Amino acid sequence: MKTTVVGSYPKPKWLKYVPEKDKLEAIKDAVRAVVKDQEVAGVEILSDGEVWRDEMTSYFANRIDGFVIYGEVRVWGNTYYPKPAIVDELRYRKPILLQEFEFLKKVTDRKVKVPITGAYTLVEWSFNEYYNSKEEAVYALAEILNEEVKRLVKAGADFIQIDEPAINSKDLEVVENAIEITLKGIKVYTALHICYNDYRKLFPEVMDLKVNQLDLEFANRKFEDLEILKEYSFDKDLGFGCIDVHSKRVESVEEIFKAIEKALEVVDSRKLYVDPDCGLKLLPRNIAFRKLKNMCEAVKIITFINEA
Amino acid sequence: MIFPLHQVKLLFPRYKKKHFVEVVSASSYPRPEWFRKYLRKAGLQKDIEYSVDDRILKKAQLEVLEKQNTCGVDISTDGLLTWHDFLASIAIRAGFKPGKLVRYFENNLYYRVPELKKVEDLKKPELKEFKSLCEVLKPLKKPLKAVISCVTPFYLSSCRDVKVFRIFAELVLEEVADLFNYTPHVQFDEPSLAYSNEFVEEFLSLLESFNFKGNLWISVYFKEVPEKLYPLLVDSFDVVFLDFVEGFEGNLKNVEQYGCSKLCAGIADGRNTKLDFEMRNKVEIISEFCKVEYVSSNTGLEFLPESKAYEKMKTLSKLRDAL
Repeated sequence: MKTTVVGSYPKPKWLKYVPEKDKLEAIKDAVRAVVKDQEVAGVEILSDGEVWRDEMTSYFANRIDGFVIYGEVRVWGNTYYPKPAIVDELRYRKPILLQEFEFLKKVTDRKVKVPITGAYTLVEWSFNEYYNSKEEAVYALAEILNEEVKRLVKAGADFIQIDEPAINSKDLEVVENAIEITLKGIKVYTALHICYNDYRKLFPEVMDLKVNQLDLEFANRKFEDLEILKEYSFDKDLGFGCIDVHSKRVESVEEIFKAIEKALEVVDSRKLYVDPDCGLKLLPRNIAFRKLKNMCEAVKIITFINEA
Repeated sequence: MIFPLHQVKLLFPRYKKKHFVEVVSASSYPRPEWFRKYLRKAGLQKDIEYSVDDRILKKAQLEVLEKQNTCGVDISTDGLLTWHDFLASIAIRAGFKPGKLVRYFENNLYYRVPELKKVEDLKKPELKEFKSLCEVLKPLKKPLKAVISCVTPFYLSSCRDVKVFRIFAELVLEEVADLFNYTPHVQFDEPSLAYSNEFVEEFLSLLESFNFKGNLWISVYFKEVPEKLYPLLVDSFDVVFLDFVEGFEGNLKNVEQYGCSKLCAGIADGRNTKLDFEMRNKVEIISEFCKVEYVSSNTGLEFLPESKAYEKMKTLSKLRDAL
């Protein structure tokens, strides 16, 4: 089994105090710091912590023609995000994640993944003032993302993760088509990340989506949803979210070890990718690090026992 | 905290008489940016229901009222500014504990599912901040609409016991009775009625045992009201608030077949920034079957950025003036 992250990681606090003229250099330093944290924690497949991104929807919207942002709306509690609006035909402007990826490859020798917010989620989390239907907007955006993924793969990316937290059982066919368009002509390892969703409504159809791995959140719901995977004889690779990113409590190695044992009842260890429930960015950095470290420690122990 | 009347009056310089159709705020209004910052700075990301400084909260409520007033709303709400878990906030006030985080219907909004540890934890879910605001506004005789919820948070919670539901619902209804001491309008926000009929019979039969002294509203949105349920709502509530954005055809069929006593038509899209061009048409079509007493957005306005929320209500006011 492998250890990985979903994508985001807490940014170093000093980053927000850096003047605009030094921002690029500072972001690169922040990526180095975040990558180092993951390496020291023991993560095998890492990300750049999405340090370049302010937010997972508006970051893309700001780089694709056809979007504007009127203001912020609430996501939960007192957390807000700048919600984009589609006001014109969506068009590819220039590379969105290529610079991030190329820099990440320079700062680590480990395997890396590139998380991309999926077309369905981008549309769901935006207002649509232009297209006649949601589907039309999703497919237009999927074509743009396909262009981006092709460039990433050409640059050497071999693990693409599509983030679709907004996936909805009612629109599974739309998501399926959007994924196919996004990954058209792509032959690298692919994953789909879903979280805080009603998996009962998504299964078993979600297993038909054309990706190698489904990455799901389990810890926040006390691993109850593993039962659903058992029921439907889950046969894909599993991204197993075993760290609650909405809790500051650091899970013990023993606790994570037991959770992984439960996951191993569902999939073979070779098909298991152990990671947190979701991006870690909302946590204090030291807590995120300790959680990752314990997660990697638990995987090490369980691997050692299995091998022995 | 006492607010001087002259200060409050400044917020409402024009008190208009009733129009042919009145513009009503559906429920929530976006939090003022400074209030969000205050909440963040105070570290009040969770469990703030009773711990926000009253003066700060009052300032935010008055600002939101002023916004509604200046864009021409006839019946405003307090904006539900401390409802961290949307409609589930009522259940949390009633003694449920916030549990796992899940998606709020089909929105990019998440809330903590209320979970009941034991029946003894249940208590009356008081809308203290609403009542306190009404006290401030009392001399102006400007009515606010209170918003509450009963079926929704329970339906979405982990608890499924009908006996427990009755206890919970009775406590909510006691609070509704009390709210009528402060306002002539109390609205049940129950989008889940469009999705499920769980506990509906119990809810409606409990309603019968209460004799409220004001207008009891029911608001169902995100979809049309199921046909079987619609006549029951007309019988049980004074005002039926329907979604004519996302459930236009179904709700039109409902009013055509069963009529309506007092109708509030949700015709401005509360979930999209796109301006609504069909509103006048819609009112005219609906009016063929039932008199439209009130117009509003189909949902609360917290799904929109503040500037767009304001614009939507302003457009509704212009429509009212043109009708």
